[in-house]
Amino acid sequence: MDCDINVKQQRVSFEVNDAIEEQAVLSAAYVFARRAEVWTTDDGVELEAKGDAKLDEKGLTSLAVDFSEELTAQELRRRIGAENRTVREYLITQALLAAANEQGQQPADSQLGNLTGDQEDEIQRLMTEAESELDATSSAPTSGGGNATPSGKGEGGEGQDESVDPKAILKSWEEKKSA
Amino acid sequence: MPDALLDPLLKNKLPNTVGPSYFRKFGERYLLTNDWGNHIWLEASEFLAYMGGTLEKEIPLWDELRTRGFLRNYLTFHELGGRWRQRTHYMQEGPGLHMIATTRRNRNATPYAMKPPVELGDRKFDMTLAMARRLSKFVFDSPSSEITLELRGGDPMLNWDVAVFILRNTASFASSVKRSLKMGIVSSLSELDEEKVEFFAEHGVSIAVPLDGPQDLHDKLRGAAEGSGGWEKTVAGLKSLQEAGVACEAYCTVSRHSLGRVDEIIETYRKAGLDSIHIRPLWPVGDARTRWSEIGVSSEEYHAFYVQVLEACLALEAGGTSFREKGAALLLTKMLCGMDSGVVEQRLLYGGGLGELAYDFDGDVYASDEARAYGEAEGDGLFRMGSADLGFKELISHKTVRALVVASDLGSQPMCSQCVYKPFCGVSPVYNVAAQGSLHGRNATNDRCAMYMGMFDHLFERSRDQAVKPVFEKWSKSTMLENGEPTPLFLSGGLL
Repeated sequence: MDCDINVKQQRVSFEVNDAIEEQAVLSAAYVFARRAEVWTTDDGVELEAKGDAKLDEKGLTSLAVDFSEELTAQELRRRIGAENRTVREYLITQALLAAANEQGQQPADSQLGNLTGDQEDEIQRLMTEAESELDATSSAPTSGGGNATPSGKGEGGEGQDESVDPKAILKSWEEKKSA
Repeated sequence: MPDALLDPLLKNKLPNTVGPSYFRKFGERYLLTNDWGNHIWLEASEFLAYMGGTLEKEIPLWDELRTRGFLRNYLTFHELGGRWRQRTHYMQEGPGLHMIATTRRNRNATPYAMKPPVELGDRKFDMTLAMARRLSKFVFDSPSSEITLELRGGDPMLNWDVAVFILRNTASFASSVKRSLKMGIVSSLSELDEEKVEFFAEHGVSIAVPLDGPQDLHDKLRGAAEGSGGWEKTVAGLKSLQEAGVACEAYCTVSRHSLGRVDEIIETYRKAGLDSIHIRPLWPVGDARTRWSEIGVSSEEYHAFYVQVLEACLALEAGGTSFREKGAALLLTKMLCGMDSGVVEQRLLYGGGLGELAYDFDGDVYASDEARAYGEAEGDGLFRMGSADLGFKELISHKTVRALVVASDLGSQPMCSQCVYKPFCGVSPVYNVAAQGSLHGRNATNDRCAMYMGMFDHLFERSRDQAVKPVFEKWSKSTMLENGEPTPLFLSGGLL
């Protein structure tokens, strides 16, 4: 492989096949992020080896060979992705539409909070029964007996009227991070 | 020269027979995979013929490539679309996995414990009965027809009344509204007694315990906060539970102290009556992050350790003893059966929020349990979404969930989008934040990515061994998730 090697600077450069697109160079450089910094030049690339162990001439040549192989592989992957994009998207769209049609019997919202009135009543009855049983069997209830938590949040169950966001935590993660 | 092998392929346009596929070189062979979950091995000459458009028709290899969806002109859209839907069924369902942390108290230390640790008698970190009541009902508002409920902590057994309330009532509700239900608890078993064993057996509650190996190794990460006996109680508790017919499993967190002790670890598991081990890497979170130079392992060290464990399991299987590595079994389900195994962090889109919700002791809702545990360990509310009062619709379309989905989309992740393991893998934005300070992460230098690559490489290579293949097929079927079945227990979350 023809390449220029500078052992002192831990650099090796070589020409890149014209058939390899810029996207493939970027992908290969990303894959090599642990091993080398990659710089593009007018007609090729220059690699600067990373790591504590210094590479000799053979090591730098090996690095260049590996990177060249990665470039070719990435260019082929890019072509496979580009050539098949339409068919892949069509196939997945059809799959998603078929799934949506299967679920089309019910409006989306009805699937959220999907307990019927009877089921709600039954759960309420079971809940009351369980609480009575627990009260009867537990002479020393846990801190669960109270309504206070360290955050001061009330926990009165359904129907409580307090703010749903007492700690102002509904902000998006971007907002939190920028705050 | 080896690098010149594929160069001739660059001269010509890609032939129209090459369908949507991903490839990776293994020595002189190439592994091909596709989005439908199929894979095939090709010799170098066969790969060149496939990619160069010179592959002969009417030969067995052609038929194999065609039936597995690798030939673009021969794609059976209906069949392959159905297969893709089957593999990504979780995208059409709501969060069916609910993880409730009923307390932050724990008698045993954990590598991710918050600092300062919660006092054992400090009940202000316990979930209240009122909150338990609300959450017991809330999980049934989920659009998913299958519910999986896990109690975590802390040690849920330290807040026993609340644990009993949730488990007993969830079971009653599930029966009333005709939903499938699985229930489990993650605990060190330090609070286990006869009454609790009977309760678990009666209500079909499964148990998972942390068990890092022999006592000295286990106690290095999980020593008892008060007195000794943490490891002994865990092992004795496992025995009591197994005798009562309670399903038990254990997971092993790999620290620097674990390296070189594979045989002892597996022996400990076998003596504890377990038929599997679940190896998990340590995350750089909480206490583990501050002690990383002392206990952390690199991706290379983890890979070497993992290979030793896997080979030890295979040696046991070869000798007639059934013993599997659960993490391998879960990946093999995807690789060999083309099916989903239910692991939310190994999905096309991260399952936090879409497939799983986690609730802290005070009712705060997080996208996933690892997100909740990260928040607890680091004091960072980044993944906190609000309370159950928001309702499911608000929660699963929350900005945090949307950010997690965008960040974890394998199709938009550099490397992942072209990776040969894309059909079987997934990204955890929570790990990315913990390890690299970014939701998207940088996979090229991401240890989690390197660990998974190593596991996939080894599993695919070993699956070519005719002696190993039947074992892998058996393992893969053991973790297959059938349609209509709740998400299996104890698969989610990296911070245990």
